[in-house]
Amino acid sequence: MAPVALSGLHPSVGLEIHVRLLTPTKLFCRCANRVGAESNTLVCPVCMGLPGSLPVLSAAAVACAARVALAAGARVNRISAFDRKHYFYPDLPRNYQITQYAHPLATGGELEWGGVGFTLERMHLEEDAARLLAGPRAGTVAVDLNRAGTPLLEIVTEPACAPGAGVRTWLQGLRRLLRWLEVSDGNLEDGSLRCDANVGFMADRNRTHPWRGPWTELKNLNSPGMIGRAVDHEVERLTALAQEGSTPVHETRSWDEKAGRTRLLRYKEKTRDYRYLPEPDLPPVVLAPSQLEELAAALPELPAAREERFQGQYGISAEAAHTLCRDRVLADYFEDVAGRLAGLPNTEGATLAANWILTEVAGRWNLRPVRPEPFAVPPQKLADLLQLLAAGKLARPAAKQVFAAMLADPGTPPTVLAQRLGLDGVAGKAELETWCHQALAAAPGAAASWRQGKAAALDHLVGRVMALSGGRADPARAREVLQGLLQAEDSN
Amino acid sequence: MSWWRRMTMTQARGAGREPVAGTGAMAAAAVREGRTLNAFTWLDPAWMPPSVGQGPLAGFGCAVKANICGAGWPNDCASAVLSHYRSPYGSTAVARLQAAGGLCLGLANMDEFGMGSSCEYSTYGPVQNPWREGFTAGGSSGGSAAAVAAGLAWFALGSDTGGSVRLPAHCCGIVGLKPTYGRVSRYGLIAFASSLDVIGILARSVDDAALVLSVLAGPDPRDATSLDAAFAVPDPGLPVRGLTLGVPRDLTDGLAEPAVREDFERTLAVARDLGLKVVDAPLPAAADAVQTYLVLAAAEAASNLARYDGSLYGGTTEPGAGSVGGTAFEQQVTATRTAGLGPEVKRRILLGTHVLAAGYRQRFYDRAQAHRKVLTARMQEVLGVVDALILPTAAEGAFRLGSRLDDPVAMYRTDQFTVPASLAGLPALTLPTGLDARGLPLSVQLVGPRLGEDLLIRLGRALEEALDFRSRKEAPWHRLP
Repeated sequence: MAPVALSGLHPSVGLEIHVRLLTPTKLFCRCANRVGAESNTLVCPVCMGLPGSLPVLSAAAVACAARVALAAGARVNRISAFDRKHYFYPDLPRNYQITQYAHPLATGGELEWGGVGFTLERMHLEEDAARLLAGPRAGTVAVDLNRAGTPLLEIVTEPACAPGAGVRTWLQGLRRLLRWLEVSDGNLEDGSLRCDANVGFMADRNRTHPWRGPWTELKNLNSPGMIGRAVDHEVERLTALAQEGSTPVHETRSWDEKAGRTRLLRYKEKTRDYRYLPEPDLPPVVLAPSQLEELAAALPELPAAREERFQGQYGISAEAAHTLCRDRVLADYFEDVAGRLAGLPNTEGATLAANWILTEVAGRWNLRPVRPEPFAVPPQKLADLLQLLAAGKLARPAAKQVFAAMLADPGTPPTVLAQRLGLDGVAGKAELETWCHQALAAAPGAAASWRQGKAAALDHLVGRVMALSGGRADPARAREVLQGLLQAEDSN
Repeated sequence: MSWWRRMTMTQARGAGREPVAGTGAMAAAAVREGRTLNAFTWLDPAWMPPSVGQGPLAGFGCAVKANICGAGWPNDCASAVLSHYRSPYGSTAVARLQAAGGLCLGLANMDEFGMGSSCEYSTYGPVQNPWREGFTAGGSSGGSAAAVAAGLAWFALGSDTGGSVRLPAHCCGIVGLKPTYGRVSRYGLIAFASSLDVIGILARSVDDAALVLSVLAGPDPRDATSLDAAFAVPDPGLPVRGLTLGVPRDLTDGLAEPAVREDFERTLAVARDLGLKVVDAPLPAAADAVQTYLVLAAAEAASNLARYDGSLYGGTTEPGAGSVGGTAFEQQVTATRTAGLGPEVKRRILLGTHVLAAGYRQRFYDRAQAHRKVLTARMQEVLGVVDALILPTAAEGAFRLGSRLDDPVAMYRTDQFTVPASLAGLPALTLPTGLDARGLPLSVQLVGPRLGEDLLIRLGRALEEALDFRSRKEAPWHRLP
């Protein structure tokens, strides 16, 4: 092969993603679809491929896959079908895999996050293979069929010009979408999301063809960050090779995180002939327009749209909206609390709720990827607390103390908890002024520093007032009073 | 002659006989005569359950082809590769038989994995024709047919992929029914060619076959290709006068053997006497059916049989034996399949692998698929004009064992009249009509529209009564003690 001129070519990457779907059963039998069970306990004649057994398609898996396709704006095909992909391997009990080849579930679609977009080529359902473990004797393998026949959604993208960081961002967005739709854990780390990256070059960055390559298929990438780094490294390596005048060859490579470089796994053999055969045991999958409409109607508001709405409707920052929409339950919780504070003027309630949730709730909530436990403090209770704060009946530090008590005792109303803690009622003006005078008297140096223009000195004084008040002072008002006293002294 | 060899289930019941007494006599005779006929691969010593259930088949014992699974049964499909296999689960068909009070005497001999037309490709050796030793009982459900013809089972289950129920019924002078594809669940039927495989019935009479079908038919959540179509035995009083039979002359004009031609024409005359109209039904697309069938069945067989790789089955072969390089797994696969699969199965796997391979697929597999579509459409079209097709089951009576083993093409052509209904997924009923010059049975085949089994049963009953084949004194059920 002649050396390839890379001038005018753009490095590009195409992704092949396998998503483990969270259905109650396997794709073609009634065995439980879960990880962590003892080897070969979640098996039956069907997923063992025993003679005479027949696959029966899980409707839940089709619904899961269709949800993702609809969310990605893909065209869900009215009729899709399964094929048998043949190759002899110990992890395939029948020595063929049941997959959708000629007629995939969905075609096209596009997903874009943070300015990085990938056009989708296709999405299809297929069964996972068994897990291979080291066998009892050297040179043997043991087969755990628990994973055999569990449902996978394969997503294949068109190649796109995206740097490693962009690929990482995009995969994080995809992971959020999968969790948002409650179809997958989306963990690259434990294999519930698997991503291979095909790295090559494109002649025109706006057109996917002609696509030169892929020259490298990157495998065994266990986190979005790793994928990003591997893609960057591979583009560099291929570019350097081409500049030296040598022709890159088709290779499968893995990523060595320690060394920060890719390593050769194997040279890609000539294309394997899988002798696809239409699966005679499964009738075509027919999705009527009415079914698709129902599935589309049942889709939750998607994360990107929701972020945008949060900014407009609640007047919160893009960053706050993004963080709140990292998890669907967190966004739901925010909206629930904000809704209960809708009586406050303007968007004060929403701002209060957003700030509180981002600083006090998000870090304390064990947000498992899918269907986490509800937060300890129910939305109404948090709204009650924030009402007290907004009405000036509790100062912020006092509210934090009450909140800590609520975490342990979410059943008791915040007013009762505040009373128990001796925090009920924000201090009056006279009391506050007394503490301020005391603070100034105890720290004459601070007043001097303030006069020299050191703003931090005021923070120090506010802290002293808070300590003197045992948390009952409102720090914002304390600051005002202190500032007034200092300025009055100045003008004297 | 014994009543349990001679009587149909309907007759036994009408005569007030105890079905289970007959079944007991059959079980004893099967042990005695089993070795001569070679009809069974396994007799269940526990065939008699602690109590006989109720239902339409209460007490009637049957033979089950060795590729139809029962829990704990040695369903080896007459293949060495499954020689130590015991199925841990049972088929829907067997479960339905047992729920209807039916008893299973044992597993019936067959061509390995259903591939063959003579029951000679079996690790157990060939099945003998109960009419005459040294002749084939037909294949691949030869053991099932021989057991029924010899009176060792009231009826039998077989499987029909390209004629494997009808051809043995033809060779053994009994009734064979291949239902519409999907009418009987395939769950637990060890696959040969999944888009063609159908569990069928070998019986002593048309009514017996209908009774068994009424027990087997209906949807099964374990088989996604099963149809929501139960079957009720049609009322015996229904007339057939005025119905039309179509003769596919494109196939029958080639009949070379005078006895077969004469028998067929005589059968058509009997049909006319019954008030049936007999017309020509052009079906040129059926001429190439055997080639199409071979390509498609082989492709699916190569896929279905890929699982016999030595990991779970046929694992007695030490990895490495007879292998030529490759990984340890590849060596194990090669060794297992080389030793465990018979010559005809290997031939079909090679053919099936070839017709799906890149570069050949369009010429073979895709063309065959296209032809299947055309043939199916043509047959449905014809069956919109006539009520059923009528043609011989085969171009001749049973052939001598060994006479076709060296000529696979001749063996494949044995199925030329049965494969069209298989490709189109249509129901077909074979019933005996007469004897050829050698005194071996001949038969006719009725092919009906999709789910038209009730019509086939009505037509079959009328012809059966008029032909009165069952009373022929040469038949094994009259000759055997």
